[in-house]
Amino acid sequence: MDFFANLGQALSIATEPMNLLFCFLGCLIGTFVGVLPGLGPSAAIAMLIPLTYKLQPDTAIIMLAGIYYGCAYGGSTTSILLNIPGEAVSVVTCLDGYQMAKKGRAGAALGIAAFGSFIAGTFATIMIMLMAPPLFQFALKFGPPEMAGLVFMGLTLVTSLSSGSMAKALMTAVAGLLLSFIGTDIITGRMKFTMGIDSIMEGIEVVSIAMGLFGITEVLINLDQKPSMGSVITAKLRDLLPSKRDWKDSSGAIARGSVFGFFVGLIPGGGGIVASFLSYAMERKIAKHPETFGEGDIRGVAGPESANNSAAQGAFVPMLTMGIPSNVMVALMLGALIIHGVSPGPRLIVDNPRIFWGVVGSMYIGNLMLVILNLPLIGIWVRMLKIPFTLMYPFILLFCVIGAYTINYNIEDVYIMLLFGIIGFLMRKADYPPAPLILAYVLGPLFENALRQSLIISNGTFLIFLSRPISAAFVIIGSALLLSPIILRAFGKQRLGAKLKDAD
Amino acid sequence: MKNRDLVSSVIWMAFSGLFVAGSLRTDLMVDGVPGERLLPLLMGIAGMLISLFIFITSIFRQKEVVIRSFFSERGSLKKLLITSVLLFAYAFSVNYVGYLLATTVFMLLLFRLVEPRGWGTSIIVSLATAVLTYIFFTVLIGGQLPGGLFIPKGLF
Repeated sequence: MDFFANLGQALSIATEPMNLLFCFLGCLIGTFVGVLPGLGPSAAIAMLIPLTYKLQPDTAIIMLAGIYYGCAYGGSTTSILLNIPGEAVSVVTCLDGYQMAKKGRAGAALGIAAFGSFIAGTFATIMIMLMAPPLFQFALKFGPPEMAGLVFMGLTLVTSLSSGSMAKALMTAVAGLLLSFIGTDIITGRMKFTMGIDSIMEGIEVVSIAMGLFGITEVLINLDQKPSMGSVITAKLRDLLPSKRDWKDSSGAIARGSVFGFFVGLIPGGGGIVASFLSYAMERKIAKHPETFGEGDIRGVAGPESANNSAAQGAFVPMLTMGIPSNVMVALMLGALIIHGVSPGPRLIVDNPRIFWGVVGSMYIGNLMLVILNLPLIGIWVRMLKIPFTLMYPFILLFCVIGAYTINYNIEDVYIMLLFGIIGFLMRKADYPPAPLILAYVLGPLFENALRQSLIISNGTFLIFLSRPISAAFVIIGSALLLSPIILRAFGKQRLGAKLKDAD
Repeated sequence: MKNRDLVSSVIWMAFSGLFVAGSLRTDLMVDGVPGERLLPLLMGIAGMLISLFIFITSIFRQKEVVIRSFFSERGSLKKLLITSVLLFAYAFSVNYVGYLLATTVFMLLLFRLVEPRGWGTSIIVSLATAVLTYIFFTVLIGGQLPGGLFIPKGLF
C-alpha cells in the first residue's frame, strides 16, 4: 500500500509544470550530449549547475538527473550508427551494434537499445522506491565511525574499479582529499592551506574543479586529436520496432542487464561502464553460440544498454539515502544539492521529501520521454552528428567560463577552472583518471568530519573503527580492496579496472 | 610513458610534500584529540608514498615501455597554446572591457585562429553569441555579467 502511496506522491511532484518542463529539458540536453562524441555528461552537468541556481532544488536535481540518464540513452546512437561511442558507457555497444547496422539492422539495434533502456530504467526506478526507505532507516543508525568507514570503503572501491593503474587512481583520490582540506576548518574555524588567497577561504568551488577537469580538459584533448568520423548508417522509423524474434532473443539479456546493472550501480565506482562490460561478458559466457558475439548479436546490444541505464539510476540510491556519490555525475549532483542548501544523507527523505520523491517520479516520466526522443527523432540526432567539433568547442569554452563566473560572480573561480583544465589535460596525457579526484574532493569534508568526530569519541584511538561491527566491515573490505592488486597478482589474475583498460 | 610517470610522480610528491610541511607547522593533537592538520598530514604522507611507488615502478618498467609523442597531432601544440592563452586573456579582460566586447573578440579569435573560418561568418556568429548569451544570462536567468564599456550599470 505504501508503495502506491509513494508512487502517487512521486508522480504528483514530477508532473508539476516546472518539473515536467525541466525534466524534458534535462532529457533533451542529455540525449544531445550523449549523441555528440567529445562532450561528456560530467562536463554537461558541471556547466549547467550554475543555470539551476534560480530554480527550486527539486526542479534543479530533476533536470540534472535527466541529463545524466539521458546521456546513457543517447550514447548508443553513435555506437550503433557510427562505431564511435557517444559516451564511455556505450563503448561495448559498438561491438555488436555497429555490426548489426552494417548488416542493415540498424533500426532493430536502435529500437532494442531504446526499449531495453526504458525497461531497465523503469525497473531501476521501482527498485529505488523499494530499497530507499529501508536504507534510510538503516543509515540513520550510522554514527561517525560507520560514516568514516563507509567513505573509506567507497573511495577504495572507486580507485579499485578505475581503469588502468590503481596506484595512479589512488594518487588522484589522495590529491582530491588533500584539496578538500583547503579552506576554513569546520570544527575550529581556522584557515587551512589557503596561502592567504581570499577566494579559497571557503574552499575551492567543486563546480570550478569539475568544469576544468571535464569541460576544459575535454576540449583540449579533442583539439589534440584528429576527429575520426566514419560513415553514418541511417535507419528508417518503420525499421525501429524490433520484431518478435528480436524480442525473443533479447528479453533474457534485458532482464539480466536490468537486475545486474542496478546492483552494480549501487557500488561506488561501479557505474554504467563496469555494468555494460560485465553484462556483455556475462551474455557471451551463457550464450550457446558465443562466436556470434561481435558479429551483430542483438543480445550484445540489449544486455549492455539495459545494464548501463539500470546502473545510472541505481547510482542514485547511495547518493539519496546516505549522501555517498558512486560516480562523478552523481557527485556533481550532490554538490548542486549542497549549493542549494540541502544536506544530503539519511534525513533527506524526512527533511526534503519533495527532492527525493520528485527525482524518483521524474525518472518514470523521463524514461518515457527518452524513448520518444530517441526513436521518432532519430533523424535529427543523426544530422547533429555532422556538426564538427571545431564549431562547437568555442561555445563549450564560453559556457564553462560563464558557468564558473556565475558561481560567485568572481573571476578567480574562472582562473581556478582554467588551471584545473590544464592540470586535467596533463593528467589524461599521463593516464591519471580524473574521476577519483572529484569523488574524493566531494567526500573529503564528510570523511574528515566523521573521522575527527570518531577520534574525539574514542579519545584519539583508531581502534574505534574496528570495535564497531559495521565500521569494521567497511574498513576490512576497503583494506582488502587496497591490497587486491597484490592478492590478485599472487594468483596470476588481473584486476577488473586493468581489464577495462585493456578492453578500451 | 616512462618519462611522464617519472615527471608526474615528482610533481605529486612535491604537491603532497607541501601539505605535509603545512601540517607540521601547528600541533597535531589538541587536548589529546586530533587537530585540524592530522588528516592532511596522514594523507600527505600517503600521497608521498604512492608517488614514490609510481616513481620506482616507472624506473623498473623502462624496458617494456612504448615511447609515444606527447601530442597526438602535429600542430596540436599551437592550437592548444592559442586556446589556453585566449582563455586566460579573456578571463583577465572581461572585468575591464565588459562581457560583450570581450566575448565577441574571444569568440572571433577562436573561430579565426584555431580552425580558420571566413571573416564574415566569424564576426556575425561571435557578435550574435555575445549578445544572445548576455540577454539569456542577465534577463532570463537573472544573473550578472560584467557590463564594462557598453552596458551601463542597472540597464538589465
